[in-house]
Amino acid sequence: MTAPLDGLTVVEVGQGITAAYCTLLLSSLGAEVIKVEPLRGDETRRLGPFPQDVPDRERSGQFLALNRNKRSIALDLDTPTGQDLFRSLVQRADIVVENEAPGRMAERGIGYEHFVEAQPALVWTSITPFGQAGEYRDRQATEITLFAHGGLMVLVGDVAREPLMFQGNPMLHSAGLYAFSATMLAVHLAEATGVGQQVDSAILDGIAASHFQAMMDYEYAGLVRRRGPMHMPIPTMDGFISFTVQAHQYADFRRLIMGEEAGAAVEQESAVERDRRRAEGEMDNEILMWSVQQTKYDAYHQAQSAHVPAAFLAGPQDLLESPQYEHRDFWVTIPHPDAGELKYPGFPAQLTGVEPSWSPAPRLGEHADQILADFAGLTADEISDVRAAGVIR
Amino acid sequence: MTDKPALPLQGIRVLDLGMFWAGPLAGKWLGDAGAEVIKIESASHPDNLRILARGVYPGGEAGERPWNRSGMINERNRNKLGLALEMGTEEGREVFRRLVAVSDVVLHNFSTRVLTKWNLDFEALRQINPQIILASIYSQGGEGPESGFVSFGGTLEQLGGLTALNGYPGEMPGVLTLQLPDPLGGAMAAGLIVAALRQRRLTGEGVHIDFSQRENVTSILGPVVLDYQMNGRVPEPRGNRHPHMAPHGVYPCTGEDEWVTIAVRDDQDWVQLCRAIGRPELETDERFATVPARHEHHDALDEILAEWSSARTKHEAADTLQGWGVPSAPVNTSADVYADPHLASRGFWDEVDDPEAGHHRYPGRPFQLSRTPLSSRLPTPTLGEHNDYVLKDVLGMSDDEVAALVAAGIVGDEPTDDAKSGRL
Repeated sequence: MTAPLDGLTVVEVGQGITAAYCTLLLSSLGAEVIKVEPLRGDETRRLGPFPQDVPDRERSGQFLALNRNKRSIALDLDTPTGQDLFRSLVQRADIVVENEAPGRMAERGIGYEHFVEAQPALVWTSITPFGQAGEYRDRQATEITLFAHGGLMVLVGDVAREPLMFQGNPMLHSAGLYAFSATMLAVHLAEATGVGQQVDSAILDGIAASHFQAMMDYEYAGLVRRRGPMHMPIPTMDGFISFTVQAHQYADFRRLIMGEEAGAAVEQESAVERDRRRAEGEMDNEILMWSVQQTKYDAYHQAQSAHVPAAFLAGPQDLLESPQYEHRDFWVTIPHPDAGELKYPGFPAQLTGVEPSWSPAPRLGEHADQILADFAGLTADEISDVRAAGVIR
Repeated sequence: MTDKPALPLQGIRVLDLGMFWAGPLAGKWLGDAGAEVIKIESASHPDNLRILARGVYPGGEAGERPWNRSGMINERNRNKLGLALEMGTEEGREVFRRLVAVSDVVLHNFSTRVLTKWNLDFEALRQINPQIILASIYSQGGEGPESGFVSFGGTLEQLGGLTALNGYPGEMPGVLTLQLPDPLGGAMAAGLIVAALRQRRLTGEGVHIDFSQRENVTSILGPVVLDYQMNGRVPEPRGNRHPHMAPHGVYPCTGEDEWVTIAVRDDQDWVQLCRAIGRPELETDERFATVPARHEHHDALDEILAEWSSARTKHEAADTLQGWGVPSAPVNTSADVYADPHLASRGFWDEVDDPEAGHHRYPGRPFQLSRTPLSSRLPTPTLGEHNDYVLKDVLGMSDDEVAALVAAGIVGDEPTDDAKSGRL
């Protein structure tokens, strides 16, 4: 069985979400990923969620989710020996993915410019809030500040109240996803022509390029869009659903929720009458009378059967029990020596002839010996020496 | 290394049947990177964004041919050629099959029914071209009990698990929608297509990519699902508060609906924040000494910060805090983003002269390539703009053959009356 990225070796110098999500996607398609962590471990190891909320760097949900299918070495990149060992890893790699502050790798003598001459086909993907160049390059940022800076936050929430962020770090994950696809473009060229390059991924750029309408409203028509009144979901017996019934769907939908006669009645009424009933909230009341007698899942299925693009607000249990996800074997169960057996999101696409395989996220430095032997040619004694010197763990 | 290398995907031909956003965006990623992307629409079914995007015309003026003037279509379809071909007719599909024979990739974001109805599913395409890559950007995948369901970006945010996380604290979640599944799905599909090109090189065989945009949303929610399994915790709306950072939120500034975001990552940020706002005495205030303490007294912190921010513009507030190394940014509108000094200094914007919509600046890409800079080489095609090029230069048809297709209404360059009025 061939995987699309068989034979590609990736070195990740990642803290947090962006680089780790990028390399998770690469590894899910068959690339071999070596994760280089600082001696104290990737910061997500400290952030949880943890089982029973007890902090444990080997049982952080955030880390476990993002770092499956990778091998780990903990390496002090601020020491000359650590830098030498890093060089020997990169020499055997096709791709480096890093999210250090701009210029930080170069200061250590291990930036892209230090490798490009000897390895012209190397693809080096850097993921930072503002990119490698530009006026705010060295500013500090987090999910919420970038979400606001890129113009999305002002669109979210209720117009009479403060704007709201999206929880779950979607901007940081998006940046990792965008970097994955950009890396694929660069790898394609490198393999075809031997020309590698640096992929300068900026989280802010990705956000500014992810607007549905607000940017064009302004550029084309001078309209500055803000959030409006907040739409609230429709309650059911056990949760919430949401949908909009278009005018041409209304008769069928009313037939569905109130019976044949009620549907037929709508087909007889004038557009004026229909607009009046909508404006006075009569339609909303009809839907509410129906919805509170349904489960959210049944309501979603019924509305979809009338071709209404309906959804329910899925929580974690709904996701884990989704018949659609089950049909596609989306969830994958992976045993981990410390965290036990858990279900993780699999891969969102199925490719002809590809069967994904999954291994658990690594313990801190779990594969150091193997990696140093394979990549740097170190003997067991030499590995003991660098470990005793505190360069690896 | 002085001569400029070719763009990454030069020599790759893509048939882009995408509509709305996720599909066309996948095509744009590939076109930006140098592929020859042929955007296929039809007079009876132009890309929905040509017709439905009310109010996004230059100066608010729809003009004589509004379908070529919408900002919504023009943002997403640069670096493509335009072919308007009636895929609903056998003659149209015959032209399409001839294109498949000389192309590398077909992509679409139709429902599961459309390609089957046209007898153009993966097996059929593979008969024509055994090396073809078909990218199906489905809502929920090609098979399964919900695979036929219709959706938009907001639907998938809700079904994928993102919407339930968000709202004001202590209240039910709001239906807060940014259509994020579309840009994420389009970008992901582009990356998968390039991966499939590599797989084709390794195996010599074509590839079908059966992609679920709903799963693509849930894929980023691993920690939420793990927390549920580990601790039985179901997340509830918490506004702008953060599990690991405090203070964390938005604070009012001078002007109407003007806000600044502040995120204090750790104790060092906290000390810097106290100094930045001229309140060094807070550094030693026990109520705020640790992250858990600051979480406990978050309301008090919010009052202190709001008092400080209310006397400043959002830009002044953010600049001051950044001067002390504290993460902060204004809550920008689209006008602010267009005026942002950083994005301009980075060369983010694509400047494009559009034949029917005029000169505009469009958002660039989420990344820059150091050796092969990407740009908008072509504006978004008008409907059917490159019919002749595709039919004659790509397929080698004669003038007479093309004229016959035009006369029969199989190719065209103006929407049908039904399409113009939005009846698709």
